Amino acid sequence: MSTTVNPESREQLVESLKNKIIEALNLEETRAEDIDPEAPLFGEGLGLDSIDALELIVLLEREYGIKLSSPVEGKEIFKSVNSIADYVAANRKK
Amino acid sequence: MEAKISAPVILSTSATTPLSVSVAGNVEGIVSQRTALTSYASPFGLPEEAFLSIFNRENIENEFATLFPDCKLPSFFLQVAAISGKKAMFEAIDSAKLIDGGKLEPADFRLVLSSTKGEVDALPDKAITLYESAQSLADILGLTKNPLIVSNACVSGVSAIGLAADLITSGEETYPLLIVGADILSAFIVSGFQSFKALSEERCRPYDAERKGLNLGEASAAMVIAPSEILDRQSIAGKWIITGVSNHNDANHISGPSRTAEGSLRVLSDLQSEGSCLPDVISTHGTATLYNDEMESIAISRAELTDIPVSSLKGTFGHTLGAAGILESVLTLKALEQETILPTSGFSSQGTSHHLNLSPEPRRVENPRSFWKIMSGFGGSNAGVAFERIADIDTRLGNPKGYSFAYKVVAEAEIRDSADNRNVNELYKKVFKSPYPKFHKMDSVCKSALLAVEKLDLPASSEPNENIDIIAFTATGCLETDLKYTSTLQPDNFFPSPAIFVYTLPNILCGETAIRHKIMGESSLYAVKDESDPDMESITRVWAAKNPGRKLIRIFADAVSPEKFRAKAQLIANNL
Repeated sequence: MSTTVNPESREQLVESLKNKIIEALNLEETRAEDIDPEAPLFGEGLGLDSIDALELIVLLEREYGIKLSSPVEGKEIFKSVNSIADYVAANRKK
Repeated sequence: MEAKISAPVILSTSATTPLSVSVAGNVEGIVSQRTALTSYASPFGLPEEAFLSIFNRENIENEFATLFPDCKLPSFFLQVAAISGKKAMFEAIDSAKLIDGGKLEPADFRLVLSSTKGEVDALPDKAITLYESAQSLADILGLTKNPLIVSNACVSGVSAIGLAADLITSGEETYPLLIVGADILSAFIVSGFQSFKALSEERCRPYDAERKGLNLGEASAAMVIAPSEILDRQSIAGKWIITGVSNHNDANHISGPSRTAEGSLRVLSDLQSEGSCLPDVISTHGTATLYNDEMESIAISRAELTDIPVSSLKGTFGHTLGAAGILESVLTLKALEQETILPTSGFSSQGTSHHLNLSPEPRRVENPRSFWKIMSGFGGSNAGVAFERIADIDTRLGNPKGYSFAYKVVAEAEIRDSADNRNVNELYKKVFKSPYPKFHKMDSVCKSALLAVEKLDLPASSEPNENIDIIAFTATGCLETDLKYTSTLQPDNFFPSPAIFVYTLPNILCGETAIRHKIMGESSLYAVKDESDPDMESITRVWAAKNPGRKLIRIFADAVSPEKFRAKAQLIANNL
C-alpha cells in the first residue's frame, strides 16, 4: 500500500498536490485554499487545458514515479484533486 | 509608386530526404510505397523508442562534400539545408532564360529559410539563432543578400512559399528567391513531441480509423521562385506559378487545432476565391494525429471540396517540420507533371467524421492544372498556397492590386527592462486591467509581446476579429525557453515538459496574441537580425500591397530572461 512508500496522510497528500499543481501549471493567481478538492480541474473550475493535462502526467511521474502512457488514461484521474489523490495513494512508487 | 507586373514563377525544385537525394527519386519512392520510416529503440540517446525517418549522417556528409568540395564541413543542419539549396539554385541557373538574354548568377538569389528549430541541437554548448543559421547557409551558398527567415511552426514551409510569392507579386522583390526548408531531428525535438504524446509507435496512418499519432522525419527541400518580368516570356510556358496565398489563425489554442476548423476553412475559402480553377489535388497536412486529421476533414467538408482528391505524404516521410510545406509541394508538383496524384501511404479505412477523397495507391490525372498545399500547426496557424501550371503567358502574369505604401502607424506601445521595470512579470499588474491567468504560463518573449500589444488598448471584442493580421519579428527567438527545455533533458533528471516545449516555437507569441484579441487574420513570425532590420519594413510593405483596408499588429519582441526583455507593438492601418 502507499503508506509503505510514503507515510503521508490523506490530508497532507491533498494539500501537497494542490501546491505542486499550482507550481507545475504556473497558476500564479490561485492559492491552495482556493482549490476545492472536489471541483473539476478542466473546463470549469481552474479552467485547465490539454497542455496542462500533459504537464500533470509529467508531475505524476516526477513526484510519485507513476507513468501514464496517454492523456486518455489521465481523463478520469485528473477530474479533481481528490481523484488524483486517490490514484496517487494507490499507485505511487515514491 | 508605379505598379509592377509580375507573377511568381517556379523555376526549379529539389528535395533531400532519407529516401532519396533527388526530386525524381523521392516521387518514385512514394509511388512504389518505399519509406525510410523505421523504429529506433533509443533515438538520440532518449529512453523511449520512436518511429522516425532519419538521414544516414555519412551519406549526407559525402553528398555535401561532393557539392561543396572547397567548404569546411558545417553543422549537420547546414549540410542538409545546403544540399537542397545548391541543387535548386544551380538548376535555376542552368535552365532559366532571362528576358535580356543573360543568365542568372548566385549573387542574384536571395535566401528565404523555413525552419522550426534550425541548429537547436547545438545546445546547451552553443546557442545559435535562426538568423545566424540562415546567414551561415547564405554564406555557404555564396549568397550576399540579407536572408529572410520564416518560423511558423508546422506551417513554416507554406508560409515561406507564400512570402516569396507575395514579395514578387507586390513588386517588392525583383530577383529570384531561393526558398529552403530544413529541419533535423535531435533529442530536443523528439522528446518534445514524445512529451506531447503525439507520436505513433508504428508507421503513421494519415486519416485512418486506426491512426495513433505522427512520425517525425528529417528532410530539406528547396524551390526557386522568380518574377516573370525578368524571364524570357516563351520559356515560362509549362511552368508553375503561385496564384493564391492564405494564412489564418484559429485564435483558439496554442497547440490544438480548432474543433470547427475555423482557420483552415478560411484558408480554403481564400484559395477558392484567388485561384482561377479548383485544384486537381489538395496536398494536406495529414499528420495522422487524431485532432489534425479530423480538423482537416471538417475544413474540407465545410468548404464543400470533398470530391477533390486529397493526399498526405506523412506516411512516407513523417512530419518533416519546417521542410514539410516545401517538400510536399515540390513532390506533388513533380508527380502532377507525370500525371500522377501521390498516394496516402498508411491510409486504409476512413477514420474522420467527414469523407475525404483519399487513396493509398497512386492515381492518374489527365492534364493537371492546379494543386493546393495546406498546413496547420502549433500557434493556431493555418496556411495554404495555390499553384497553377501556365500553358503560355497569359493575363495572370499581372498584379491587379498594384503596389502601395499607403499605410500608417495609428498606435504604438513599447516595453523594456529598466530601473522601474526590472522584471517582465512586474509589468503584468501595471498593464493588464483585468486578470489574464494565462499570462503566467508564457515565456518571457511571449509575455513581452503580449504586454506591448495590451498597451495598444485595442477595443475589446467578443466576436472574432477577421480584419486584423499579426506579423511578428524576433532576433533572440526562444533562446530562454530552448535552454530551459534542454535542462529538463538531463539523464539523471529526465522529465521533458510539454508546457515548456510548446514555447520553444517562436510563433507561439502570434498565437497567444491572436487568442487574447480573437484575431483570425494572418499570423506570421519572422526571425530577423535585430530591431533595425530593414526587412521588417519590407515585409510590412508586402502586407500592405496585398491587404487594402485591413489592419496589422506589428510586433518586435526579444527576451533572453525575465530581466532582459523588450517589445514594441504597432497598430498599422492600410488605407489603400
